[in-house]
Amino acid sequence: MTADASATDDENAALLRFTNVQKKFGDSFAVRDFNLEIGRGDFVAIMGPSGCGKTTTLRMLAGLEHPTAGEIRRNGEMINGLSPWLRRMPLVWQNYALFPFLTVLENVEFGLRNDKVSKIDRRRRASEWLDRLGIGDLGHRSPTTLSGGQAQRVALARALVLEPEVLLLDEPLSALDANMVVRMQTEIAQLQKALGITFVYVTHNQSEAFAMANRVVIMNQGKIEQVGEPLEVYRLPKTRFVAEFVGTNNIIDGTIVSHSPSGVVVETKLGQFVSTNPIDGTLGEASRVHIIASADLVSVSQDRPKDSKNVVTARLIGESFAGTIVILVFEAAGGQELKVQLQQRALQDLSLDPNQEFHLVFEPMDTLVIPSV
Amino acid sequence: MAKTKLDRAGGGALETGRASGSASRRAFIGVFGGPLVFWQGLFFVAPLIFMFVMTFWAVRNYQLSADFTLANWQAILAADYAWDAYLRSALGAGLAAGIATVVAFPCAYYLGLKTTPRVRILGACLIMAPFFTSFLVRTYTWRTMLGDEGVLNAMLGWLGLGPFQMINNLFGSVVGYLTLVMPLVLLLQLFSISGIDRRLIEAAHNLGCNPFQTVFRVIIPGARNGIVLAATFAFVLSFGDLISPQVLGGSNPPTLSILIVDQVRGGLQWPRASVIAVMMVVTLGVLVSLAMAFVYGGSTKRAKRA
Ligand SMILES: Nc1ncnc2c1ncn2[C@@H]1O[C@H](COP(=O)(O)OP(=O)(O)O)[C@@H](O)[C@H]1O
Ligand SMILES: [Mg+2]
Repeated sequence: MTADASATDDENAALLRFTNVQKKFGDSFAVRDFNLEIGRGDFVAIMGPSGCGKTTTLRMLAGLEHPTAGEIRRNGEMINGLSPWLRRMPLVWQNYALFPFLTVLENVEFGLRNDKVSKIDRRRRASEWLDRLGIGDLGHRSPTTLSGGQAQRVALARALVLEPEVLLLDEPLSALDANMVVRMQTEIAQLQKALGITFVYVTHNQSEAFAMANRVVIMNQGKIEQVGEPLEVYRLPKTRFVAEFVGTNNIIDGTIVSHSPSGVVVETKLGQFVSTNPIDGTLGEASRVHIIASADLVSVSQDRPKDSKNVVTARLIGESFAGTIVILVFEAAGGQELKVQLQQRALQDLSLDPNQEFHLVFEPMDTLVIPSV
Repeated sequence: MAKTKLDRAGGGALETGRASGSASRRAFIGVFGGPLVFWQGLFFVAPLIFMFVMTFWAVRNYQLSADFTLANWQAILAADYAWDAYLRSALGAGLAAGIATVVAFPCAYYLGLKTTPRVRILGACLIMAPFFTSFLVRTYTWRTMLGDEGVLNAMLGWLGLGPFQMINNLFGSVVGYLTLVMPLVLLLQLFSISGIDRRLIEAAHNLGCNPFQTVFRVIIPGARNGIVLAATFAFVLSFGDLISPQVLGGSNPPTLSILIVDQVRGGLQWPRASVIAVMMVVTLGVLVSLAMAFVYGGSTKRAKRA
């Protein structure tokens, strides 16, 4: 019984585990206080602004950088100092890093040459991957003659032919044009599902991450801000940084007035807000907080609603159209900017005159309260 | 890779030239390209043609006279000593090119990839330092080092070894050639190795190559053009060098360059000397063409495959 339990424990042990990992370059931290578990078969997206330490994290997994403190374990085994060539964790590089002096097929075969695989077998496996990724006819070409999308596929084939446990991808779509990005996104997501391989995918593009990953990690200045399922991170940002980074969120500063089972009341310069969402247990009365409300969950009306709580009166100062979606920008008391995202159709009921006053309604269940740090 | 970039840059330049399509651009090329063409024409092509013409001249009563005779060609091509010298020159130059390539590589690898840019520049300066002293002085220094009573033999003597004959033979000549070509080979290799994209090296590590395997699978292929060009230059310089075989090789048996001098000194045989010189020029011409075809052909083939 106990033996069984520990066996399942082992199986359930995270494939990859970062414990207090830190990486310093000179005096500056590229990554710090990094704690993360990645399970078998996960598609993890690491997201954050440029320079926040995403590539460094991935390079530490690949063994191309070594942590200055902390532990990285794979299947429970410490791999901090393990040489990259012993890890078999292929990386798909931001600019592909294909070998220009080899043909496409030779590029894909490259990693197999250190395995004890016969030349014929190697060829066959490499060609199979080229076929599978729809570039079977490019085998004899030089990588320098390929388009971005083709090179991207070669890079994927070169990594996947190794049948790795983990595939690392560093902004693999950042050099492709918009149409290609959407296509490759779908392909990569399908590939990951079909293969069941763990993907660690670095990107600074949130739509990429949310479209593909089953877990997202938001990083800022070398630290993890939040980890969770895409929708959870999108709907329930835990910090102001995440709220600003994902989606289009309205952020209003305030102070907790009262705290009851029916909700939290927060006093702001725009009036009182009630939130029925659970809050961080450490927040008591008089705590400084932010009100977070996603722009697509705020409603606009021209008539003043009866209840004055969670209603802000604001002046329309701008609008921007993105396809069928419209973002209206308002200015409320004290210069506070508020955004509302609507479907184009919903606009027909409103007459939109610039500088006209509107009433913005924040539903208590769509209003979040997070600590202000 | 560097090559393709150059090609693209060249193509771009051509296009802008066409776009502006201006006479001023042509004038620009004329003004700045002209002197070089003129210089090459006057001091390289013209003497070469003259030399070739002279191979058909005759020497009568120690007087050079214009003629059309194949006697000089027959005399040289039929002479065993000329072919021996040819092979000796080729062997010496080949050894020098090969040894220099192999010996320089680890140093170029280290300087090019394992050091900071600052150390690399310092290294490049040190590599060039020998150019500041005359090659003749350097070869005479080797005589005192390698001679029968030289420093090296004295040191080996303390160990109870030797003396070894290290000058007045092929070994001496090759040491001289290496002294001549090593800095150039090292520099060319250094530039091509330090131009390799570091990500390719990391990609190789990432795909399972340890540093040793990476040298053969990424660094040598990546620096291929530089390595081949360096070896070619080493051969060209050694093949034509006169000082090493004279000062360190002992002149006897002769190399082609020594033979040329002998022909002129011995009987003012300028036409025969010219025959030998033409043989050398043709040999080097073929060799350089092959090297260029190898280096530049690779990328044209690639481009064609597209
Ligand atoms: N080799 C290096 N030497 C010095 N600083 C580095 C090095 N690599 C990355 N950094 C620094 O570490 C920080 C994180 O970089 P990186 O991981 O590349 O960020 P991201 O991939 O998220 O854009 C940056 O401030 C960057 O300048
Ligand atoms: Mg990066």
